[in-house]
Amino acid sequence: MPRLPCSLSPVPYFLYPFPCMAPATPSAIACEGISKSYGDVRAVQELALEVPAGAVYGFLGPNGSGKTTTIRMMVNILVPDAGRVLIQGKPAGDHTKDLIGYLPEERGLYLKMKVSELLEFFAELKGVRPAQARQRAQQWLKRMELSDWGEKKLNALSKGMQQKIQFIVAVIADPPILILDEFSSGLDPVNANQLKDILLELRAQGKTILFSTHRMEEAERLCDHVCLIHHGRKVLDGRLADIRAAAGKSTLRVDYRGDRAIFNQTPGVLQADDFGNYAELRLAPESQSPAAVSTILRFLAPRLEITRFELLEPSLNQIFLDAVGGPPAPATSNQQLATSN
Amino acid sequence: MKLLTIIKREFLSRVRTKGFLFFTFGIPVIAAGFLFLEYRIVQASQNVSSNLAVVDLSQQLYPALAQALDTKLDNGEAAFHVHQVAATAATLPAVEAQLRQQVLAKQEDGYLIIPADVLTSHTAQYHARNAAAVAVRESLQAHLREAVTRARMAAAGIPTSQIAGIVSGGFSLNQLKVTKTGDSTDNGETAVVAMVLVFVLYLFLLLYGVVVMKAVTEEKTTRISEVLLAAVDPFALMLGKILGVVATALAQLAVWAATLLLVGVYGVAMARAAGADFTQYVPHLPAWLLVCFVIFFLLGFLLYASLYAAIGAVVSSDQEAQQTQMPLTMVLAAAIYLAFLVMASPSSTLSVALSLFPFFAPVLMVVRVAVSNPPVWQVLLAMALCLATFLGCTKVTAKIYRVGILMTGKRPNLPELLRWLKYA
Repeated sequence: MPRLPCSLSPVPYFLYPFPCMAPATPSAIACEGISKSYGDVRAVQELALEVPAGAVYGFLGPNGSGKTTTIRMMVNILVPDAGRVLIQGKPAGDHTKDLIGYLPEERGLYLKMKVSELLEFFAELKGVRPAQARQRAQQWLKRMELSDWGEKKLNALSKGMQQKIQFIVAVIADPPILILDEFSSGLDPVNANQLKDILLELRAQGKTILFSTHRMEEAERLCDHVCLIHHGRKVLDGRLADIRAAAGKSTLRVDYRGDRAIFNQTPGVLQADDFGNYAELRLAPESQSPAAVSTILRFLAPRLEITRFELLEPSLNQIFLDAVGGPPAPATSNQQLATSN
Repeated sequence: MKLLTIIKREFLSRVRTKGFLFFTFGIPVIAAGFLFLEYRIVQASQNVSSNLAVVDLSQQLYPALAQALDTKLDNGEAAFHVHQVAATAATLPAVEAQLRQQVLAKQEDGYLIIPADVLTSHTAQYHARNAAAVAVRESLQAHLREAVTRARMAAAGIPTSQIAGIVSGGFSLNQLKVTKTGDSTDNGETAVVAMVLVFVLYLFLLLYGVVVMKAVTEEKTTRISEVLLAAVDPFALMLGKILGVVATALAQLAVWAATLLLVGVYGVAMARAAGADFTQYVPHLPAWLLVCFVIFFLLGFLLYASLYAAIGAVVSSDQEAQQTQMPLTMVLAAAIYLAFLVMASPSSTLSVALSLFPFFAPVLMVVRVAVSNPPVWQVLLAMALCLATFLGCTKVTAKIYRVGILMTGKRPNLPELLRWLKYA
């Protein structure tokens, strides 16, 4: 199936400030200024975003930034206090539920049910006919190499297998939109890789995939669009390539051996993130020209043993930190970002 | 369609458990087994002829007694083998000692001593090896009493030809219930039956209310609710769960009722074959009462199930559920208690008001229909109110559930609950 025209559009979708100017194909998901509070806690504040049809959309932010609340409003488990959510142009409601496959962050399955029966149940719940549901359950179990487990009860399955079943539950009804909340959490690398392949396959079929994660590098690998939120507010969104291009090549990566203290004394370097074997130096705007970079390298060369250097676009993590006001981000989220990097 | 899917899952996942199969089929089998065993034991003891020695000091009762005791057992044998042992007041101790030896030697099963003044003394003595054989003693007593009565009548100068008619003419009191359509036979058993029906409802609610509650908490603890809610609207989910569990309960009830009916029909048929007519004890139930009972049973079950579901939606653990369901159990108990009040004066204003109140109606309206004749509109109104309350409760429960699952932790207080209703 060809990808839908919207994502191929040469003009980034966010350049259409009003819906009437947007291309004819409605966005898969559109949030129009949605807010949600729990008592005094303002979980999401006036969030506006559009997920183009056919996009792989990364919904990023530290833990507690409002990702899950936003997603729950998209799948109509929660109703926004203000604003509205549109699914394929229609207001989110019970009739839009069949359009979305949902993998929640907190997983849960009927442990006493047989695997195949559970899959058929969830498929039928999404409007798939019983005969077809049975067929799809077998296909997916085969695809996930779990065919031998169809007649077993779920509590006989390992954690990793249950994760895969949970994923099948989200995709079995073949919905045009997939929403995955922290889908890779708790997956071992082999399974994570298998699911990633399936996601790419689904994307090639023209499905819209939105996944939330607090792991920026995961989003960098998979997404063509991203939206970064922090404290319930949108920080920035758009095509990943556009965002990174706009940020410029402002980072110098240096693989080195020697005394790291020298980085902080280097002229033209705003900040140094040292990772032991290499360091990422953030360059001041006036120091990003090739000439300025060579000056910096000439300064470092006699003081360190440099094995490799590269001028980079900043990582998504760095862009995010810049956008929310640099390193003094809240302690918890900062820690999350640091560990995930 | 989605509702059916949920009902199907709830139903099948419960019906297939070993516990359900055991309770549904095991208990009737075990109960029927016990009944059958007891029946066989009683029958075995009844089907043994008794060898009976009779010492008739009055010298006049034996012929009548021997004639009266000439009855047959179920298996066609004579119930008693009676023979007279001659004795006088002087020889009695020696004769009795000898009879005692014979009883102990199992030549006789027992001996009967009829005193000389039997017509005035009112007592006779029966000595038996097995004094606990109730059936033998009862039969003996009845026949002896009849023989004594006949003898007394004869002594009073009543002609023998008339005695038989006087003795066999029985008497019983028939009570009639006054209704608009005419008086119908009712010996009070409808009221008893109504109470039995109401207790069945009560027991089932207690038994299955907890199941409904667990069905709702189940997904909260296992965290399936998010996927479910992303697929169906909460009202359909709640309705599906309640209907699924109620269907399970009804399936169980149907098996039990069928067993009971079979045993009952079999029992009455057996009794009739044995010569005793029990059909008069089979309660006569007006069709209208049955219809009302069935409808109110369903409505009451659904209504209380939705309340238990609401508790399940609010609490986050089983222990909490135990505490929180107390008020509900008390409302149920109040309904049963009020049933006696309504039975005493079924048409008073208070009774009418109470029987229209949705939480009491399933019990009280059935009682009223059983013992009096409430206007049809009142019955229909009570049904409508029950149904509306059930749907309303389910709707509110669905809202609480929708918000509640996303906020685990401590149990919400009332203001928080009201705010949840607003969120959803």
